[in-house]
Amino acid sequence: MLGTPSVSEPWESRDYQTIEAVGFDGQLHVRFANGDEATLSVDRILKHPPEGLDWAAAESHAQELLVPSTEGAVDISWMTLRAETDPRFAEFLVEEADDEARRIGQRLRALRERRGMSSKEVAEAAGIAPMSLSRIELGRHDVVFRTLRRILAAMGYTLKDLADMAEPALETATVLSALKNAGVTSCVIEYLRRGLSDDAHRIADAARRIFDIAPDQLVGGRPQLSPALAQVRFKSAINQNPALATYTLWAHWLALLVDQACPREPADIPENPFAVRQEVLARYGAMRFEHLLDWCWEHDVAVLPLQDPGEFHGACWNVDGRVVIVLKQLTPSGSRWTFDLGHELGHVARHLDARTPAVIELGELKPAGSNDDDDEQEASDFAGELVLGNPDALARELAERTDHKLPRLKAEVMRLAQARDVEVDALANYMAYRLAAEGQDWWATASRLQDAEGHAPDRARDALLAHIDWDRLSDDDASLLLAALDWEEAHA
Amino acid sequence: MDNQRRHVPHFHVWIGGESVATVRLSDQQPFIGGPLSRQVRELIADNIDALADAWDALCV
Repeated sequence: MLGTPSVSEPWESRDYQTIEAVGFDGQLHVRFANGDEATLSVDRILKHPPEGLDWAAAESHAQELLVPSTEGAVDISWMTLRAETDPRFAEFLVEEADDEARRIGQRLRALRERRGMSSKEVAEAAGIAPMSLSRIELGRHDVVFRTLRRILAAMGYTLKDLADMAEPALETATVLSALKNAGVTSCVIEYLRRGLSDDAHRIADAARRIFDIAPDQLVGGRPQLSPALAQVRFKSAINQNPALATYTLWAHWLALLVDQACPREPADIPENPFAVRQEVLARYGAMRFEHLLDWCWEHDVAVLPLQDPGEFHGACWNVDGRVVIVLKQLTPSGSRWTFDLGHELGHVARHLDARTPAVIELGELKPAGSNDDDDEQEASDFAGELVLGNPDALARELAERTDHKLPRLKAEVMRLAQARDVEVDALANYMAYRLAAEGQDWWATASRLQDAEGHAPDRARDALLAHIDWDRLSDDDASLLLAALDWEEAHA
Repeated sequence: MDNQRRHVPHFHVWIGGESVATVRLSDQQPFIGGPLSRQVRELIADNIDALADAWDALCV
């Protein structure tokens, strides 16, 4: 089971930052592109306001406000306006400021120790009180850059030396090797390489976002998934397998991106498979994969198809109230994808809730036969009823019609499917699984009954692309999502 | 440049008419948006003293 860490904070979104309209009636009224509106007192905005500031003539200009004055226009960034009106953002900035003061202090101390100088020697050379230096090194004092440069100069360093301590030199090969050592699968490493143009810093930044691996760990060569991730509630089987754990993190991160990129349209999801079936048949006239897929999107269930070999077979996540289903099935068979989607919908209806925000499919999804796990069997039963109505009754009827003789089964499957208004390929698949559980191999015949038209993963990808608003993602996140969906390139 | 109270000393990187990242002065790492291309990182590194002067001028 997985928790649902957020993919990014609201202030990472361009709509949150963009000032769409501004007005002034003694107070400043601002509307942002995400629909937020704020009113603020202008005397809180500028520390040193210039002469002749004309707030009534303020104009919005993307992420800043331009306010004319007799001394020239003043730029006020979105951050200033948001910091005054969004308590969460203000809190974030304060935390960042605290972290920054602490970080600068730690680096200054490390540089001083590298030089073998006492704090008294450095303070004297910089012309500041030893107590002030001590407070700065402890991160308890906001330091102006003039003072900071004096301290650095006293030790023979510059601002660049301070920055270089923070950013280890990264080489693409080193970063990729470290990710491999952490268990990141080769296909995901390939997506990172391709999506981020082999840029070591961008890959390291993505590794932090996706796997919570800090850049300095990547230089070390063998990073561990961070303790923060250990607290995320994986099934133990996932935790014990680094490749599975990192692929699950990757898929989960993609699911968060999908939720972020696809506008929500809240809708109720029926918990009864027959109700879903009736809705699909009434709307589309048949239970094909593309129909169930459209039904999902209409019910605000996002479906992310992946085409990577190995690791898990599918998943569903509750992302802050919105369901994202990941389907990972290499076959192009529509009936197979229909069943898997129905299976995940079964988990959504029966097992996904606030306490269980995720279900990860570690094994193959079986329509019939031996599902060891009760939840898996329940989800498969749900899918069977959704896709075929009453699969048990159909199987019994087929047994009677064929007199249990396998050579007659193909013809009877075709006749019964037409008579009972179910899809031939879905019924054939179901019977193949059922017979396999009894030790009989009917797969070759079932394969010949599959619908050759359409390629299910391509259909799922087309549907997803039709719902994505790319402006909701950063350039790098968009590139990585596109790389994961570009399986033609990945398999080339 | 912003001059907010109790903020990380920072600057905005604008490309193509919009702010693509908010970057700490101390280590030139984005803390909102980003990441930055190598070319932009080099441009910042070359001008870091001027940026620090500008911050101090706004805040002190």
